[in-house]
Amino acid sequence: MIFKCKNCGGNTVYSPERHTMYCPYCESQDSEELKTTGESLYSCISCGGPLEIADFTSASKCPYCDSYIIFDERVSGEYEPHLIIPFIYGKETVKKLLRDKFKKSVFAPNDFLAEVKLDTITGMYVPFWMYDYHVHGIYEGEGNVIRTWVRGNREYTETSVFHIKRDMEVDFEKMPVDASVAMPDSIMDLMEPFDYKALEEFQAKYMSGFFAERYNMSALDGEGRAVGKARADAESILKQSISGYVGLKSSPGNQVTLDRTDTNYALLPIWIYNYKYKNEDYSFHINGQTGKIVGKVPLAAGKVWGYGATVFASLFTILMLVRQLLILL
Amino acid sequence: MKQYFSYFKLIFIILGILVVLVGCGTLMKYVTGGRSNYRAPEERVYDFADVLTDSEEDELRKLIADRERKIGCDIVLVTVNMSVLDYYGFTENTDANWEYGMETYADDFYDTNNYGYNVDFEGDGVLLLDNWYEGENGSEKGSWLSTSGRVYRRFSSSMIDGVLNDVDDLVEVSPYRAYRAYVEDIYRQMSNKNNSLVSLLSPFGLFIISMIVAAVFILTNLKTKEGTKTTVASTYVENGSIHFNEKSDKLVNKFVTSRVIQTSSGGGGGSGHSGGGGGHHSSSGASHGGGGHRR
Repeated sequence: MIFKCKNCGGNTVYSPERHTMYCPYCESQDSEELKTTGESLYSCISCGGPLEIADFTSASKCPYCDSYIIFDERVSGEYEPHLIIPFIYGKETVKKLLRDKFKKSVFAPNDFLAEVKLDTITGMYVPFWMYDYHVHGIYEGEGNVIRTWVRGNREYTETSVFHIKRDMEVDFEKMPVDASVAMPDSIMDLMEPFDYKALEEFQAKYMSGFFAERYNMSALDGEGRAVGKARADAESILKQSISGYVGLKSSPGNQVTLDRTDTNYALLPIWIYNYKYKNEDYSFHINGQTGKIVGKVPLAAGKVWGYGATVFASLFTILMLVRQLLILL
Repeated sequence: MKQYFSYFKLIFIILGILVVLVGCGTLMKYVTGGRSNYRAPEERVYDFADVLTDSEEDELRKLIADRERKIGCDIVLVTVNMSVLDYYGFTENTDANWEYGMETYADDFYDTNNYGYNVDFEGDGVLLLDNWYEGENGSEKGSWLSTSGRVYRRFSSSMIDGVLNDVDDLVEVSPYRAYRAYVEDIYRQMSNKNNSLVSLLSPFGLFIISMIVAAVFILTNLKTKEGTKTTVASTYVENGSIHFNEKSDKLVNKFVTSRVIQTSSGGGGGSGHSGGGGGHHSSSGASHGGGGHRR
């Protein structure tokens, strides 16, 4: 499917800045109409140009006419997402966020924040599974409370030993785990949290203007990570409820049990900046809703030595000149 | 390169300013010899007591000229054979009267002749007044050191005593050697090697400091982090869903132990010195330091 402008026939896209559909050709808003006839995974619905679409791609851009195409068969039926968070940050805003964050990275290569490089940033809807859990946690253990005081030349220490018991129930809502094999799990975890207030029922129009993938692992395959996260969070909440003790000893048999109560399939917005430096790939992921940036800046060895040598030489010269000035005075 | 110059802009500006300042200072020193007070007479050795030969006086003048240029301070020697007590109308030969007379004479000599390497009032310099007067009502022999400007700020009372002791040790045997010792003492104390701030800033020390700062700069900027976790344990907890079926803390045991507190005593101290020894004002209102020894 493709969204076309009623006024000029151009490809309308979702504009994060305007929060609405926008035609970049005639600059009209909310003028989109859906075109589905002639859709194929192998040719562009707009210009007929041949397409090479990867197995899990659900939205892409035609390399010939630059139209953004959404593949209906990959966003419907069993692949129809339940929820979506539309992009809040547009491309220009994300470029500014990157510049602001990395402008003080003095050892970054010179062209790292160059306009021509930043222009390659792409917005992508990444598939996520969202799990709801009802968790039951039991903790038993022993902890000490210590009080000390001084009388005369003696120091007294009073140790009170407590038996601690916690029996807690908690519900976790929409614990996210990415359902994309291509996306690194550790990076996707760092992209969190998303603001769920902006979650909407899925609408394909939000995908126009961006790339997207359908889930490429089942809810069952992704659940292991979700269970791990929910268990760790539940244990952490239990521990937070126990404070003021030293020498805490847990009893054997403490346990956290989880029951999955619901699962949702959602598309979440992420900008990706791929930068290549000295044959090595560096990827930066930016949360398209919150602007959180995750990525490690490459280091230019020449700059490290050059800048370091300049700091040394400048400082040494300044100090020697100050010394000379003191002598002259 | 644009990025490089933009990053180091401030440092390069400071560097440029310092180069200009040091350049101008060096040029001024080269052109003027560093002296900026021209009201003072050229004479530095006033041997009114006639205890030096003419050649000894010339040698002292040469030595003083050389040392003055190096430390930027006037060094004056005055020998007298007169009663400072009579001069200032004292009838009793007490230490206090002698000190007043010597101090006033030395300070006034310095001030009325407009001595001071840099300025003619409170300028950098020092004057040794050596009195050889045997006297009918007791000896007035002794020496007085009057300091001014940088020398005043640099010399503590103990440092003044040190110079006078060196003079005392030699003056009866060889006045010439005693006065040389005075000039060299002043030179040593005022030369760069003994300037505490400059000696702190030794080239090797500055080299090490610069190396450390550069290393810290590199290490600080090398640290790059991929990203930080911004979720907490309660991020995905449904509002108000945490419920404790049981939350109990039961005391099961309590015991008290004690120990004797070990006490220890100790202390330390430090020492140091500061300049400004014997500070006072002369009759012209100038600040001087100084001190004297009777023989």
